[in-house]
Amino acid sequence: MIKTSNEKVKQLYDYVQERCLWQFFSRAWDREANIKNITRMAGEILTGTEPDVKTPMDKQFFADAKWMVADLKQRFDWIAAEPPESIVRLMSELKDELLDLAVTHSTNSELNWSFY
Amino acid sequence: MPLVLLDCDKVIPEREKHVYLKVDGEDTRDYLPLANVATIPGTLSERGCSFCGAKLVIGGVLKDTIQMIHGPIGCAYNTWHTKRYPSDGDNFQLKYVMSTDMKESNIVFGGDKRLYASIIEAFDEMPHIKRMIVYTTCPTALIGDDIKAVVKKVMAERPDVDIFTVECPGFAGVSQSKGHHVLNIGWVNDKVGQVEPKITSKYTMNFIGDYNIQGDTYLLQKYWDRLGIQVIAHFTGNATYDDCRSMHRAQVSVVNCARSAGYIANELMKRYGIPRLDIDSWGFNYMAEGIRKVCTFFGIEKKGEELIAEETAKWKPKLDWYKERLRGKKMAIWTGGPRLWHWTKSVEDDLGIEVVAMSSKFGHQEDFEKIIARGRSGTYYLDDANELEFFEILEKVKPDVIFTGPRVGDLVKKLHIPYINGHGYHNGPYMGFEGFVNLARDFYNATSNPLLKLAATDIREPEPKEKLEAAE
Repeated sequence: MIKTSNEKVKQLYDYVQERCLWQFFSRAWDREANIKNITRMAGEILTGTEPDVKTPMDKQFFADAKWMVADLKQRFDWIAAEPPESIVRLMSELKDELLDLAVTHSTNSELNWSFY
Repeated sequence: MPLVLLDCDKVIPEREKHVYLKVDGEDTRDYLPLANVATIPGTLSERGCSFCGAKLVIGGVLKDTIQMIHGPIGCAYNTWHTKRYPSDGDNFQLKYVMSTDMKESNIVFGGDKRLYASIIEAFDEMPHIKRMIVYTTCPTALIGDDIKAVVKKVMAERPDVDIFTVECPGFAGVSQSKGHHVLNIGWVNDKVGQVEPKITSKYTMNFIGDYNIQGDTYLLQKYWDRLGIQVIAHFTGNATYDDCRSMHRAQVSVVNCARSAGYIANELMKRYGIPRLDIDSWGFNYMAEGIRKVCTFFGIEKKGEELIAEETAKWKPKLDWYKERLRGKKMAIWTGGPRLWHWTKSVEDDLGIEVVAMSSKFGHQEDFEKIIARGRSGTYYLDDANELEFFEILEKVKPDVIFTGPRVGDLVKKLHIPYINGHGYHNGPYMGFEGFVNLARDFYNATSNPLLKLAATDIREPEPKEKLEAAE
């Protein structure tokens, strides 16, 4: 169960549950990379910072982050009025909640198999 | 509500760990059904075998490749022609399948010579075909036939042919899922990197986990063509053997079916640095999102928006016509695994349909994480379900229609519940914008057809009283 009592984080979290396949890739290592990088880039986009997109992997994270942000703006009116420091905090909390669900406390028994 | 022990499972209580009823406030940290584990003795599984997962689902789709099944004849027949994946290669892959037709004496004395002769005969009979996959099966694996050695000999004698071996007998894993895995990893180990593709666009990708069911690939290919994106390889819908040998040259792997082909996408990422972008190709809203992500990857968003606008203008009114009529209908999905998470939210958002039960034959816990995250509270989630469980769940959730395979479909028809072929489709394709309208149409036709209700009405005259008395 989601741990935060912050209603805004809950809304963001529910959105990710409903839409985002990247949180549930096959293994802990790729879930972690996706969750950390996509939430980071989403935060950057929302605060008006241009994400540093250099590598092919960056391009993938950016594609996922960009359309998550577009959806979030459409669904949640409050997000446009949120100050940058609050966005950073919200995205960090969202990242922690997602890592807890999909990696740290995931009960998926295959998550840490080295072979797949 | 935790995991559920159904009444029919009281004699096999281990099944409780495979059945989950979602309630608000819970997630997969609390309860996650067991999946991808051996079927429990006492339950009549509807799973396929590992060989079938390799041949029927992935390898058998290739349009220019002889499928050589090294085993008894039934292994060939039962994985042939049961899935509708056409090709523009004269449907070679649908017309033909080869078997070494192993008999008792071959099992006793070994089948290597028979396999060699069969490979030679097949290539001689079809001189225009230069590619082949050889599959081992249960008996030929048990007797230890060395299919790699036979293939090596043939390839040394005939340099113009190329052969891939899949050593995945039916017993190799707990379900067909193992066959997906073996073929994926075998292919990336043995074949990827051997062919250099002709690059015709600045934008190149692999499209992974789409098998051209009733033309899915054709439909999506039109989108990629309009966007100017070169698909190096479809893995494996309407693909050639050599397309799939050149997957290492794509800039990105776009993945639809992560269950059957996530492995190769991950290996391409690890070995060649090709990122993996997972999308949903089923569903109006999801398809638009997938196109947007692909276009953002290549920096061609404007083209993507134009395509989405055109397709929306063309198909959305039709989709909405069905949505008005389907809103509030209840659906059960009993398929392999991934379609559960691809479909549950898309039918709800795009068509107003409520998914009330979902059963997966070969999904892993990863699939159940996705399914439960997207699925509704009050919905049942089952792994490796059997017929009695289906009956009991039907009583509980009373769906208007069930998306499943023809075998389970025939079963539910007897209960006068319509079914739609969730594997091979009724009248597909179902992917893309147009495809989701097709799905909606099939759903509407199934639930509006008065035939099943009429079939449930007993129109016989009551037996005359005298006749009944005489019978007593």
